[in-house]
Amino acid sequence: MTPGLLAQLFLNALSLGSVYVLMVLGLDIIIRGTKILNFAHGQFYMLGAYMLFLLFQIMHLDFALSLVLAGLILGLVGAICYMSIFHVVRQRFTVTTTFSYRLLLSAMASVGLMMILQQGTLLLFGTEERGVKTPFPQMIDILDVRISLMRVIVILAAIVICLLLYFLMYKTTLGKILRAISYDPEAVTLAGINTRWILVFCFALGSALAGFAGGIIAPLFSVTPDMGTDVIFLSLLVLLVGGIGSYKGTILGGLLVGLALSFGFQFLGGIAELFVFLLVIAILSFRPGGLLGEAAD
Amino acid sequence: MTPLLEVRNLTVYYGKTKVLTDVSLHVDEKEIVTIIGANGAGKTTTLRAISGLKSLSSGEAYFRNNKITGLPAYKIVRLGISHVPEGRKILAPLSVMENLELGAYLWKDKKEIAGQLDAIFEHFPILKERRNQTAGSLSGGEQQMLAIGRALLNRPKLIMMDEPSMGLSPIMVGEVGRTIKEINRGGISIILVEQNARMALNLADRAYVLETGKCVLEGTASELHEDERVKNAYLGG
Repeated sequence: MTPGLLAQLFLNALSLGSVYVLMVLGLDIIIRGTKILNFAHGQFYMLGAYMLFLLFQIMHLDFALSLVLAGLILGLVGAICYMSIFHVVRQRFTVTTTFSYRLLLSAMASVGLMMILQQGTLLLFGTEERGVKTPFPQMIDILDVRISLMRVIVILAAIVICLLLYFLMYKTTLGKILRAISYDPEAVTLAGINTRWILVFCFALGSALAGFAGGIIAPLFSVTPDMGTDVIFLSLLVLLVGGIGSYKGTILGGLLVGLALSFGFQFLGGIAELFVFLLVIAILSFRPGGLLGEAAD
Repeated sequence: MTPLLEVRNLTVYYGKTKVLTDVSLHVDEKEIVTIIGANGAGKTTTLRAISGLKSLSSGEAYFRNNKITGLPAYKIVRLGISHVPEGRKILAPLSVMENLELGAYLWKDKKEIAGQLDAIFEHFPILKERRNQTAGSLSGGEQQMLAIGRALLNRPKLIMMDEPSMGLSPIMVGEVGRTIKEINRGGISIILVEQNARMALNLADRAYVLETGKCVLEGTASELHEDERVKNAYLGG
């Protein structure tokens, strides 16, 4: 194996991993705040990619603007889904509804949403693969290694989003409330805060991250109605590997799965995902709470 | 004079189980009122029903002549009732300072908040010392102080405290007692829910005794202190 190939595999792993990091940060924010395991998260990612296809490819908007819009639109879609579906499900809960039952009910609702969004997209756009031309076709040559600028942009965008999230979570009042609500919603209510809108925001923020992730990956992958299904299961894996409730764990898990997939495809071909699942099983048997999860401590 | 808080005929169910039956009570301005009773008598539920965390099946509550039954909990806090729940509901992963800041969420006047914080830090120097540590790293007594400090930052007219002495050392229990007295001297009414009836009756002006969801006895703290039934059941004979 040449150093060039190795470097490219690493770059692929990092860019793929970055997308998983964005996806899983979204899932994690939603799960911690609203206690919803949202299986439709992958469809938000898929819709984000279609948004980019529409805004950038068809309407010829600026790429960065299209990306931001894709994130905002999916945030709005998330907010609407939360208010019309998950909030209604939550209101049926009583004090005697156990935590696992709550999780199960909202997860089932999300599976329904997943099917609706996927079939709806299929009806609207058909089965054909849509391509989004890359806005950054340039290759950078560093020493002997040729690097795709688009992949570098993906990585940089993910880093920027992570920094923005860090700022939001640890430097703003809203972030303080978001962290507090995931620990104890009642304490937040008793501070005089209407938690309902915080939860809507929480769901919208997570969904926006999925939309952004789908948007930024659109120039690298083909855009199809079922592209969200594979991603959601791998994202859930990343969530488990990293550990629920740890941003660092999510980032670590995302990069790990990115590496495993990238190198797996190169050396094992089609069974790369099997390799990833085996890796996850191995990690979880030693650290059942994930690498850095709350349950690990 | 109308009381600060007036609660009439609260009835509450958990699922199909009736946990409160026709509980009525009132709290006057600047008063310390205690609710005592055994485990499961409905003391916590009474507080949760007043603060809006638990919905009622019947009954009414008025706070400063405003009907508060049916209001969402966050609005009741805004009217001036702070609730310090059982088990010191501090936000363990957040820093001490962040916990306090959340308590002051309703208020925007930075100067006054800073003044209030100073007063709290003066009273609980340990909180100042540990303001950047996570709240979960505090001892039980310190967490209780933090929970009380956070409630004070809501700027309430009435604080409801649920078992503040629970799990604390006798010295800390005394400290919590003095703090409650001091808060009350500042003009804030207090509802104190306690299993530690001796401490509660020493602090309170008036008391209610709950048994299996019903209010069985009420009177001034000194009356109840001398009451044979209370002596036998709650003060250890």
